[in-house]
Amino acid sequence: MPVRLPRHRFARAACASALALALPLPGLAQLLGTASSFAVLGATPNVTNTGATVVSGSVGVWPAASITGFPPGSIVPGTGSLHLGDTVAQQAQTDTTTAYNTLAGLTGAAIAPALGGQVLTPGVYSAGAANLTGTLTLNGPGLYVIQATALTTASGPGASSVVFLGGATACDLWWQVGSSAAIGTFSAMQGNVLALTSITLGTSASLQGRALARNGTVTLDSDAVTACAGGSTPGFVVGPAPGIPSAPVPTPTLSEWAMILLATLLAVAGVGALRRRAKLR
Amino acid sequence: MGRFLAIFVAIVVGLFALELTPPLQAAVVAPWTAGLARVSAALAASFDPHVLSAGKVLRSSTNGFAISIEAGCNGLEAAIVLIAAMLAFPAPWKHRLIGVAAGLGAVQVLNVARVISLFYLGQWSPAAFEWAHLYLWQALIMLDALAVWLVWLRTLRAPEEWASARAEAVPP
Repeated sequence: MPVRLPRHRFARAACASALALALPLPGLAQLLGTASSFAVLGATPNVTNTGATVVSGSVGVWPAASITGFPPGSIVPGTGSLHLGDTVAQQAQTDTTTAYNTLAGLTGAAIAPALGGQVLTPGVYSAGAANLTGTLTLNGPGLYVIQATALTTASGPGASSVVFLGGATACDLWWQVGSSAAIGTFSAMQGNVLALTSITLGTSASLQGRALARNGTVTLDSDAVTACAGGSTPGFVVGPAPGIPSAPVPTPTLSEWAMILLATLLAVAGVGALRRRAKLR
Repeated sequence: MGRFLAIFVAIVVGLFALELTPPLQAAVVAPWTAGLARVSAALAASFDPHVLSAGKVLRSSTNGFAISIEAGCNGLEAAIVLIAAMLAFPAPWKHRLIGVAAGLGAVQVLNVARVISLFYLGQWSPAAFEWAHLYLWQALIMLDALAVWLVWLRTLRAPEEWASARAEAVPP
């Protein structure tokens, strides 16, 4: 179903798209360098985890050398490993800083910090202290860069989500956060989060993307983090690959139409029973 | 008959509206959903040690596949429709309460089976998961609720039950 944009939003989105087309955005692999193999990367004092977090991709920290909570946290075999203050994590931090500065240096079109309810097309956006409650819709293939001074997402089942339409993918979404990012409990967050300070994923949150913190810690709690192996940039594909943790798939019991049908069937049967009852009298 | 239909619609609308309020979501729906995930994980873990449960999420530690039991996935909506029909139908209150408990139980038991089966179907084949999720299990849940409803109506057929219901309906 086509998405109709309010006129002012359409103009803003079109403006941002034009900016994105005019800017020489590097390919994502080039942008992240060696950090592309990391799903979680922290700096100081550590990376911490509580509970049965499952990560697809490497988990690292530098210049600190402390990662706690693995196990019970685990890395899907074959997707990555732990890097505690080693040269691999050091290089990944260097590359993360480069990527962060590249994203921060882009000129973004201003959008409201309340991201819920907005519909964006590919481009660079500046949202200030961004918060996501409700649904942010991204429509169309291409890169999405959202610059924010801080980022929070609402907690609770279905309280915050990003919807991708028309070829938009989670792996093409980049969050450049000027301080810290807090992903709410039960949130199903999407995109690569590059934060200047810290990143916290609430209990049972999922992140299809990466959590890369330049100066602070990354805190996990019974989460699922899936390093993006996809995107519209050449060399990337969308969706979970074998062995990659998926973003949790919602499983509705009954659709709206099924519920209407069920209610109708019950009503018909009830009316039938009442008619039989009337005959018995 | 018209009274039954009107009360049925009113109760359905009322219960759905109530279910959507944030306090009830926090106090009932979210814990119920988490409980469903825990029960499903415990049952699955009895034969598969690689099942993890965290909140509403059921996850495989071997391949990372996860399903999320969202609002609308917990069987409450189907149960609400059934419960509304039972409350709207003229019957003795004891009979209604027994029916509500039985209906809630029947829908939830089948929903646990649905969640576990979808968890493994999704790991085996995304196409099978989609088909079962969109068609098979919706039909089975509807049949389950309908069967409980018809059995409940059948148990009401004894004339003394009708007489009792009529007596309750007549104002003193």
